[in-house]
Amino acid sequence: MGASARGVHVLLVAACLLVVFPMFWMFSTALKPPPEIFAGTFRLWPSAATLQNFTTALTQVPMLRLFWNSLVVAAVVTAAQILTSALAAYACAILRVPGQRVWFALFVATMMVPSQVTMIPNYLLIARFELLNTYTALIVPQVVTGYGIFMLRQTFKNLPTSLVEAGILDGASSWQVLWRIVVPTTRTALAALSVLFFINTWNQYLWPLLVANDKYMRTLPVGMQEFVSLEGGTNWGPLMAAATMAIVPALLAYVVAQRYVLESFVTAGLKD
Amino acid sequence: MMEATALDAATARSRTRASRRWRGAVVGHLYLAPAIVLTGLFVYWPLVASTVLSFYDWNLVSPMWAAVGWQNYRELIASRAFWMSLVNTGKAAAALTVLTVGVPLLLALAVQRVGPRWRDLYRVVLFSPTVISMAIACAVWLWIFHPLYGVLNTTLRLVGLQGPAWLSSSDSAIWAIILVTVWKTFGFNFVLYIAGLLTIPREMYEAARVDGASERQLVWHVTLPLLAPTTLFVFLSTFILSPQNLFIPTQILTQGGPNEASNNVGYLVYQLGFEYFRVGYASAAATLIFLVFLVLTALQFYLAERRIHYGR
Amino acid sequence: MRFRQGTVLLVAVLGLARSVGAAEPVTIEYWHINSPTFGGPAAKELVQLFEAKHPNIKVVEKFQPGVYTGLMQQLQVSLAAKRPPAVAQIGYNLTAYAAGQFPHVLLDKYRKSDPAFFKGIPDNIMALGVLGGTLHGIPFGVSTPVMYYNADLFKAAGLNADQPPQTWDELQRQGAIIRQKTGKLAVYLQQPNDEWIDQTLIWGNGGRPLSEDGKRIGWDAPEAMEAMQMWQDMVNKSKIAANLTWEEGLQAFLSGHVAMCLTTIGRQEHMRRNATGFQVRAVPVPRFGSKPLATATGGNVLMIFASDPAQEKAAWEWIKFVLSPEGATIWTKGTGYLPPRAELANDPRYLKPFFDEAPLMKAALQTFPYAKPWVSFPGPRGLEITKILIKARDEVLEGKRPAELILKEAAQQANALLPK
Repeated sequence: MGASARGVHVLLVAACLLVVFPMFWMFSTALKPPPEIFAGTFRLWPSAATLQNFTTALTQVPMLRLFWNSLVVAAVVTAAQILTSALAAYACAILRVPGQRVWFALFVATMMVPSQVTMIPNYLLIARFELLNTYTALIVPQVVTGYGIFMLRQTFKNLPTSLVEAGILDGASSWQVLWRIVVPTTRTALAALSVLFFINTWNQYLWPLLVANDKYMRTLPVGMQEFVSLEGGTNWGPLMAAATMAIVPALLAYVVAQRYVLESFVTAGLKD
Repeated sequence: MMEATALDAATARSRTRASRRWRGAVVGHLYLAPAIVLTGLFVYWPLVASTVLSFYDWNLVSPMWAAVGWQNYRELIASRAFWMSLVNTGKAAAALTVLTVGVPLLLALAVQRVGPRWRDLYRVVLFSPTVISMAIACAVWLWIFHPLYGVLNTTLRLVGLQGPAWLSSSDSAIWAIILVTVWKTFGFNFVLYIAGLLTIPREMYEAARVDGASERQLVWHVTLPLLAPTTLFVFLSTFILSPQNLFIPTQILTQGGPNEASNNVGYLVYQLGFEYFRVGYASAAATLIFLVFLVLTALQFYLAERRIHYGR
Repeated sequence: MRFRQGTVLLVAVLGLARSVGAAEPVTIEYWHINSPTFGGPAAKELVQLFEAKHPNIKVVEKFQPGVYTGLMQQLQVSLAAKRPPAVAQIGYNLTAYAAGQFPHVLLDKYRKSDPAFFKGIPDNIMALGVLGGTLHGIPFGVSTPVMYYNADLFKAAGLNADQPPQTWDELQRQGAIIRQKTGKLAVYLQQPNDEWIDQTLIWGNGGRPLSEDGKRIGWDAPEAMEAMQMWQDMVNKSKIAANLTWEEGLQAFLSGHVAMCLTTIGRQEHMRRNATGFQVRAVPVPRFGSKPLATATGGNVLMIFASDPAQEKAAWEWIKFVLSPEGATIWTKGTGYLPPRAELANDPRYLKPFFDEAPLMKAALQTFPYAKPWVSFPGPRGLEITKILIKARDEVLEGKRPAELILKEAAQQANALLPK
């Protein structure tokens, strides 16, 4: 038992090192003063760590505003995606609406449509309704996701039928069964999905670039591009600093979701 | 309405009025409504529009557009870029499926076996690549891939190997992109596996242990089968999303080069529509790719469902 | 009665004054690629000064990521939605496409109305915005390639850092010495997602990237093939040149792994600030033996996309301002681009102090008289031609096949895409 536990640790540590190195590089570059960034010798840690890149990043682009935009959009989109996915998955997996296989196939098929195909017509639609550079434009077209419906249908299908039947026998309506039985039981999956949705939206680039290019409506990934210029030279220090700062909310979302899920398991007993 | 009740033949006791109302098609469709409306408006309408556009030669702006019939499709099928992209996407999808379906599972299982404090740390660290934006990740990997003094080649040199010019060599370019994509996306599946593992009731393990099962048998006969739905989802979604995931690394690191060596279907559509501004041609590519993936996915779904049913 | 009449008259007069355009505020969008370290502050300064001079015009300057290609993409989409910017920077290599496919304002009419503006801009520079005899855009950014070099590496190899190579033969000779003595690569020619340096090589060796009548690509002409073969050999045979992506190559130079770097003068500020532990100097790019110096010109034209007359007028005022001596001075200092008005460089009121303090700029100034256009390929498939040529270059540098074969194939494909 002891040897295999150590073996597991070795495997995990090795994986962690491989995985984390680029992140570490990003962080250490953010702390390096400009002359050191291009140093010929391979330097793991700056000889004179400085926060100068962070202040540059904060002053050269309106970081706080970008943060806020990203936060609003990511939070609302995540909530909306979870909601619509849950509703649709519920209809397909539990209510077993006639024709659900067809609808399900259509929803999953949306995952195969290249985003470039949908981007332009959606952009033109938004433009025609004078909704460019608004939160609506950033949020509404993304509210439904085939990925979420697919995943939740799998999860819901896997629930023991006795659970749902018990609810029906108690006279609960479909709505009540959804919120009082199905959702609490699947909260692990829902939490995992929420984190993924949040991070996806938080890091999105192409769509926000199209519809929200005004300086104060941009999201973080778009705003960070100001440091990138192949013509005049990319400003690596502030770029990495901005990227480091950008990770924080996404990482926090993950940690919180993880905590929440674990704690709720510990308190409720491993499975309810 | 009667049809919906007929579906409940297996659960005879739910033939109460409440149940009939409960499983009514109307109510069901109400739940589906938001998804249907929004998908129709923001995905299928553009897809249809794009397919129509694929029969024209247009750049979205010019007041002149010419109907060209099947020419875009013919040109596509004759183009080297298209076939290279398909082949590369195939290679990438295979690699991604193996590496980001198998490895995260292994890691999730491993994490489950360590103590709670370690568990948190490992989970956060292993998940961290997923958190940063793909564009930034690529920018960092640019440093790592540097043929002269990047980490990869420096390490290879230490063991006496000569690393390639990762991004400028036609043999390695696609693998560089695959590497970055694997690194960036395995965390998604990792999280899903963890969630899946957490939902396996402890009683299952207890019961099996009581029966005298060893650790390995536990994993093989309890964990994996119960994880099957998650695994299926992870497998299919990784496959379907592989073009999407390959796009940004291709755009930032190689732009499809050198000489189409790293071009893939995700990038190709972008290139045709946004670099050449041949929106009609790009739409033809998008439609073809969509159909190819549709067929392949339907096939996999069908095979998978069959196996699950026979397995049970 | 008289009071009321007077009021009516007053209102009418004011109304007339408004319709003449004096007080009606106009807002125009100006799209550019100037990041905070590459002319961003200069763009903002220009806006402030301009708005002070023209209180009824408001300029919204918008940075577009992805340099000129990225800007074109945004432009295309905005044109499709009928909301283009009033004025935007269009890279030279994209000018033919924009001029041919995007609706915009033709600028010849301003030659008659503003002759003073056009004086002082040399004809060969103004020609950069002329296609098919019509003026489509005003050249704004003018850059040349220069050869930056690492003076310390030269010294370490025992070479005279004050006499870097002036011809390609010299470069190969000195490059071999550097490789031998220091183990470092000698030269990197930029390999971006365009064919700027390729065109520079072709012009330099006496060829033409595109025939005069616009019907033949020049990549399979003997001069072009000779130049590209030389490049291929430097990478694969003598191994003194690096085959790296643009960002990789620049990083390699800045970190002291490559002795010479041929890239745009627009990078001079970045080079100066980031070169670690060595002195960066610059000279014009090498010549081909006794042939005269010739380089492709980089940068952009300003094109007007506004369809509203008031916006067009405001856009033209903006263009005039940023190209005025005052505007051009701020612009040059902020970007390292050369001023289209050549005489500003020697004028102590404007740019002479800047050029004196920025020794790297001298190389660009010396190249300026020899600047040739960056040929942008005509027709709706012009952008694909660029891609074909880039792919050819990448294949040439990989060295698996001889340059001649690759270039002949590429030229054939490209010629098929040129308009008949």
